[in-house]
Amino acid sequence: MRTIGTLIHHELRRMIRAKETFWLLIFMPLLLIFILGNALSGFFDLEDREVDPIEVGLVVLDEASDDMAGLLRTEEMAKWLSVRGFPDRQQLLDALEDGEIEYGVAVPEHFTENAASGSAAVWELYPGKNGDHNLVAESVIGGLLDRINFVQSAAAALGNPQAAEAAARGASGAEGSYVNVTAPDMSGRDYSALEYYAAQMLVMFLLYSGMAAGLSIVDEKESRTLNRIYAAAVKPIQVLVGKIAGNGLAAFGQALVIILFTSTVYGVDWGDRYAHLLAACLLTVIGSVSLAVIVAAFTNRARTVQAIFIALTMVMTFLSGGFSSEIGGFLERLGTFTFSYWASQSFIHLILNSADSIVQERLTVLGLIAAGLFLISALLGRKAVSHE
Amino acid sequence: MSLVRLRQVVKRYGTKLSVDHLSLTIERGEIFGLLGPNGAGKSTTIKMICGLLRSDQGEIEVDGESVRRHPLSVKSKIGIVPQEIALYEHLTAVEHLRFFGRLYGLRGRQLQERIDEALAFVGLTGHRNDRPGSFSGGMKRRLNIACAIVHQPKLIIMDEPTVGIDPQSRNHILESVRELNRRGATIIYTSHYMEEVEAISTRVGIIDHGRLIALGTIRELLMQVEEQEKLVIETEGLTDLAVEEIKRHASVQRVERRDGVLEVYLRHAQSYLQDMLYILAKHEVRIASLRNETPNLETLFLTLTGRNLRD
Repeated sequence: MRTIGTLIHHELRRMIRAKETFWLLIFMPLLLIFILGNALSGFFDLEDREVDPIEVGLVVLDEASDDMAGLLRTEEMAKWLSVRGFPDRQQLLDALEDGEIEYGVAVPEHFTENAASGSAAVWELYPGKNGDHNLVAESVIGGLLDRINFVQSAAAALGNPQAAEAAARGASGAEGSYVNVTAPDMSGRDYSALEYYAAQMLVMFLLYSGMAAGLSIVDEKESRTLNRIYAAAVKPIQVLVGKIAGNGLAAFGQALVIILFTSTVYGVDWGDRYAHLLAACLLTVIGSVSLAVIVAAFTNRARTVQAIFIALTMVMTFLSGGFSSEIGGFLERLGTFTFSYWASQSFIHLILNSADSIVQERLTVLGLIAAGLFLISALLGRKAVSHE
Repeated sequence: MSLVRLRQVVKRYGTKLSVDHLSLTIERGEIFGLLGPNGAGKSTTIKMICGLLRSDQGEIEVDGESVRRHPLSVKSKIGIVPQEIALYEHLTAVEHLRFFGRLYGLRGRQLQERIDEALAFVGLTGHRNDRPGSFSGGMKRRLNIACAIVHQPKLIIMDEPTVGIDPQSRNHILESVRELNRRGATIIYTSHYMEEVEAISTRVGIIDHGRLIALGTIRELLMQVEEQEKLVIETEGLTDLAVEEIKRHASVQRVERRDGVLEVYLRHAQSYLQDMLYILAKHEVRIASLRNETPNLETLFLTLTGRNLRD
């Protein structure tokens, strides 16, 4: 243990005395968080906007559907839609064209009959010229149609329309509301650009810190000091543990500084679940240091380690949304296969104060990836610190 | 009593045989010179003795312990001065010694005392808080040595410790080697500078292509080539009669004549120098210059391998 302690102390001193340590590991992430957080804050403007009730034209071409169509005129719906009746489809379309109404709905012939027979309840929807209003109308009317379909299905199954209605109420909440406004993560809180980039940059620079372990191993080989260490009574496993623990501790310190600084100076709210935050930092550090050992096992040149690690970090950070939160469907899906994605998601959901289950799910995936990387690094570790 | 014993040691790199069934014994208190050209297998042999490389075959013992079976115990008895300057740019001289001292298990007051002694020994006490970046090549070499002796090992292995340094630092290092030996350490000293090995070694082994081709004291080794001592005489008016009379002298082995230059191979040249001069004078041959070339380890190596040590 004393030998490992000496090696850990040696690593920490090496990190502290390196000229680039402060600039690369502390100053740069804080600067980037500040620049990206302020420059791209427009993309994160998530304030609620009040939308006036949308003028919706309604034509009912199925007499039996009058009651159902009347659901659009309830007090609940009046918050979102202002419904005006039309005698036929053409007049409705003309009014839509003239801008008298903003959205059109036609209840087609035989709608009730079709719905009762088990076919899907489909209304004809005519979007207007305002995209935001179209989106709101479509969401509200879509919700209503989903509910109608649910009631019809329940009625068919239970044979009793009242019981079906009660079941529908139970399914959509006591109020029976068609629209439920909430944040995507169910927490009711969103994040600022500074908070988003604080999480992303923390992960990116923790990966860079991991690289230091790989560089340290390769540097010792290049300068022949590794031979000198092995000439003393030191085992390869002790060197490996010393490198991992020393650089891991340095990375952990870096995480602590970034979290404290962004919290006190930038106002980033990392939440109050410190055990989860600690776990996210620990798993990210373990993953990044393990990755560095794996890279160091395949090369004896510091420049190669640096090039591979920077490329890996950049690609993973990009795919996990580290530079821009909107990178497109395919790349976003690709990002879910990266270590960075699960690390940054863990931090972001802590910032969002998401439910424990959501945070724990991200931490579990992060932990599994970190464990996998650690296992591989343990298998390749001897090769990485080999001096022959 | 022997401190290091190698028996039939073999090391291969791929298909290349780097050390070829090497057997060697080094006695306690010796300064053993291991001589050979670059790539002869010296460094590989040393790394195997230190436990830095595993031999493919054979057995190596240090102080009665097998390197293979007790590597950590053996390593604690050895201090190695590597050929390359293996130092950290971010550590001061004293921090280097503290780091390596701790790796060798030293702690507290004992560590501090050993650090002070090592720094004083290599003459770096005044630079204890300086980093290698501000050192000359010679000072770096001396710190390189201090790192290897801080734990006061029984066996000190110096692998080409004087490469690329000025004569003053070289002399300092050679004197340090003698002093370490006087203090009780056994030294293995490798070099391809035969003058250094001749100057400090009590015994010498010459290695080539991984095989030990000569072993003994300097005197013993040079006896193998003593017949190659020669007088080189630059003459004016050299005659065939004079050459013939020199050839007939009992001590002369061989004579070579190139223009006016006469090379006379003979044993104990100094004893028979008067005879040679008398013969030349008798034949009225004038002597422009004269020098006595005694054989050395270089001569021996050339004789044994047909190559120069520095090839």
